[in-house]
Amino acid sequence: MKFARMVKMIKKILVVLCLLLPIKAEAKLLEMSYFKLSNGLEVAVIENHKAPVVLQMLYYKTGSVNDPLGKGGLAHLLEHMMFRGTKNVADQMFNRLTDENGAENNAYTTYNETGYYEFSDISKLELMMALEADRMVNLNLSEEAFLKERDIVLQERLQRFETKPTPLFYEMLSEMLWQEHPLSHPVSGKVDEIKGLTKEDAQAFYQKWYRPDNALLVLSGDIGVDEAKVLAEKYYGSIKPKNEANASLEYAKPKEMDSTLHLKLKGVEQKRFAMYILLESGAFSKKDVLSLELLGRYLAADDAAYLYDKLVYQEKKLLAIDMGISYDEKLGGTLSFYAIPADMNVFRGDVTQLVLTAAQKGLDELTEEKLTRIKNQMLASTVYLQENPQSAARFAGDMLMNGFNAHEIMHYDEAIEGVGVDDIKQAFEKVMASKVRVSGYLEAKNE
Amino acid sequence: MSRKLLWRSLAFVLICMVLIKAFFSPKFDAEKILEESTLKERSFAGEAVEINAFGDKLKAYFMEEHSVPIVAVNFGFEKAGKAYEKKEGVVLLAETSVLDGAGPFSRKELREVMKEKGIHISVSAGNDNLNFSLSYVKKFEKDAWDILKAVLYEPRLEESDLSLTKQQLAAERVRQFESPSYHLGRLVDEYFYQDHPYGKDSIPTDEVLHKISAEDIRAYLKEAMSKDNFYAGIAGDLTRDEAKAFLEYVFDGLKDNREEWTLPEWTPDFSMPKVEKELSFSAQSFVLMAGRGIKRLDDDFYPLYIANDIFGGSGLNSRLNKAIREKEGLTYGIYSYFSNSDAVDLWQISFSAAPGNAEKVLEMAVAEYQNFYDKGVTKAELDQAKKSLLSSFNLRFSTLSNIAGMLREMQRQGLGIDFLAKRQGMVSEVELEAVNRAIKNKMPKSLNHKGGIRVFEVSGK
Repeated sequence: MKFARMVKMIKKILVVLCLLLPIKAEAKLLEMSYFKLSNGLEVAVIENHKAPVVLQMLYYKTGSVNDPLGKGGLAHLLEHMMFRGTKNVADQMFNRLTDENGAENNAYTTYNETGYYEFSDISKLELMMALEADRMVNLNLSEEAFLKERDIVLQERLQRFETKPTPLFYEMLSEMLWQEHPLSHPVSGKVDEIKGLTKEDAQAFYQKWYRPDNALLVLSGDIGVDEAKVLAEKYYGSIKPKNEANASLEYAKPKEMDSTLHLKLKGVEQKRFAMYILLESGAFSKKDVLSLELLGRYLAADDAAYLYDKLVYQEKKLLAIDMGISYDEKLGGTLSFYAIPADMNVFRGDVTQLVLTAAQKGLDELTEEKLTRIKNQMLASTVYLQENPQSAARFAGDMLMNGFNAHEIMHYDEAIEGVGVDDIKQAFEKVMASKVRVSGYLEAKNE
Repeated sequence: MSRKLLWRSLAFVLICMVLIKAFFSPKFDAEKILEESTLKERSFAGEAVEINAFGDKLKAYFMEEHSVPIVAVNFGFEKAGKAYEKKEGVVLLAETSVLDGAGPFSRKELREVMKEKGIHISVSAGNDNLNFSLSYVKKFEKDAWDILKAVLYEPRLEESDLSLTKQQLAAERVRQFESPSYHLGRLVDEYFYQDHPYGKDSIPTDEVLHKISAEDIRAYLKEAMSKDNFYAGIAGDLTRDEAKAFLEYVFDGLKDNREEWTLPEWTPDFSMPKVEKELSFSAQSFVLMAGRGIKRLDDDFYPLYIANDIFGGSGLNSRLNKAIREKEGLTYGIYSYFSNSDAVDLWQISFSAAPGNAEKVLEMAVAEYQNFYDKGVTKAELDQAKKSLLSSFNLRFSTLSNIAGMLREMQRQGLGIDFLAKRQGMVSEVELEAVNRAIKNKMPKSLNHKGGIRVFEVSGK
């Protein structure tokens, strides 16, 4: 039961998009089909008949951005409660049934999605579907289980984010960048917020966001599309949509700002630098986002990339550099840089300027020829999607959740091929025009 | 009783039974769903075979699988890991720098060509072994084999790359001080492993790293890898002949035998009392308990593996998780597990909890364990655990790299080429009596130093 912070999410999207893009191959990238049930549930089926196993993933299109103000951590706590019993399946039975049937199961919450998965033998798939469908509508929140689970979630927050100094640094940067916007809140919620959550809060969140017309089911593995259609209909088909229009929520627009955070924390051993540039919702097209993905790969994919070569190997100013991009059409997103300065001189200087100047220089040196190589590299590893039902499901699921349709996923190689140097330059210009950005420097606090 | 009354009573009982059944029959009937499932159980078709190369000087386990044009190989060299090194830090540096350029390729060129052709190679060294993994797409087979050869025998190890790697390792060394689990590991190093090489810090100091040259790394690689300490799993789009050709092409450069490296004599001491260290910046306390484990080839391995699964195994369904996480909400997770290594077989339990609760969690674990040790497990628990192990079997075939990794471990651990064919039987044959007897004979008597369990804690504030 994991949840990812924004930073993690950025990394995840980067990894998924960078490593798992479809190959322009002789064979099809994925045997994927897509359909919708009459109650609005979206279904994607990815066939892979190597081993008799199937992954079921159910994504709800909600996450911490839908936590009511002051109720941080609610989406994540509800994710935990989904394992604590329904009207038909007693508390503890969900884990028991999946466990004794040899299934791996888990769940996670991010800022805009809540995902549940069971990876099992094909002969157990129907049970997994029945269990997942049951908890879509029949959740039974008992006060006692709720209070225990709230304690567990509190332990999780402490264990994952308050045992090391760095998570607080990244949380503070996000908070500064996003201001009144819900992306300023950590997915986990803060300790005091978690303590104040009630069973009624969870019930209301469940009623509002958990419904077939706000969910995506992915089945990946040894299953044909016809079988999948029958089974999806059998287990999920009778669940009524709540007919609640996905009201487009208005999110507070962050105000212009260009700030620098200098933070000293106990326990820090390694000085760090991070920079977040806000990408305004609606301002970036899919092609822009793809262009920025390619730029990220060119600049900082690994230690052979431009920024690494220049700032780490040649100029020896940094020990490491990484770049991330995340974007959601409705929420907006972030372009981020993370760096480890090589010495005190660099750390005390203007790392923001150092990184952005180098990035711009790198972009000026980018030619169509270099870009073609990067595109080919990006596409080459996607062949591995054909053999891994779990990464294939994640790839297709994340793309669908990010607003790509099935056709675009199947023809992603064409979209990649369609990006030129000018597209990348334009997209980066838009990023640089953003008036909302923060930089942060983290070092040790001496007692 | 008159006949009429008898019939009436019978009818009444029948009606009651029907009503009771209707009333109590679960709305969610898992058994019925499984029985009526249209997708039926199917065995994975692949078969593991042993391949001999260079006569029978070099052996590997292989599984042919042509569904996708991909090959995965996992191989390694035993008794070649960090605990065996003659010069401190040399294995760590070898592990981090052999992919920084090899043969005709500079570091940058090697990255580029591997990305372009979708060739993945990784290197990792533990205390005991040096391991490699390779995966590639069939159409770039020749390139993949050549690159692997270059990495094994002609790593560039250029001075500029090496000095940057040392600088980065030094930074990483410092960074890990930020993590409570690092400090917990160091407590175990200091008080349990002491002078044994397992107790070395995972990244040595700058001074030690500074003394290691490219020549040291080359000498290490040459000495560490030979045909007689090699093991491998190969899976994917190859025929048996092609797999053999791969072995003979790539590993031709290995010498036949090597002088065997050994670890110092050492007797683990499980009888010392708890050790604790304070860490002011952590909001949680981290606890690790360690006692004697079991050899992989011991006859009691499966009975104890199942016993551990019931007590503290990886799911959320174990006794420890139910009692401490689910019922009390005192921890985000508590797990127990067996591990094997050249120097010691261990059984460990780990958890984290709020500093004020750590003591209580420890007490609860002690009590749960005593109940487990004294009374053993029940038939129902055993059946459930066996069912779980049997049903999850096919998951290990989900990717070629999983299969290759599993084959490699089968060979390395001496499980035999017929392990996959026998495994389900070995699990289902485990009887209750065997489990409870093994617990009594081979597990610690209590969960503290008197019973043979060491406790280490890094306590937060």
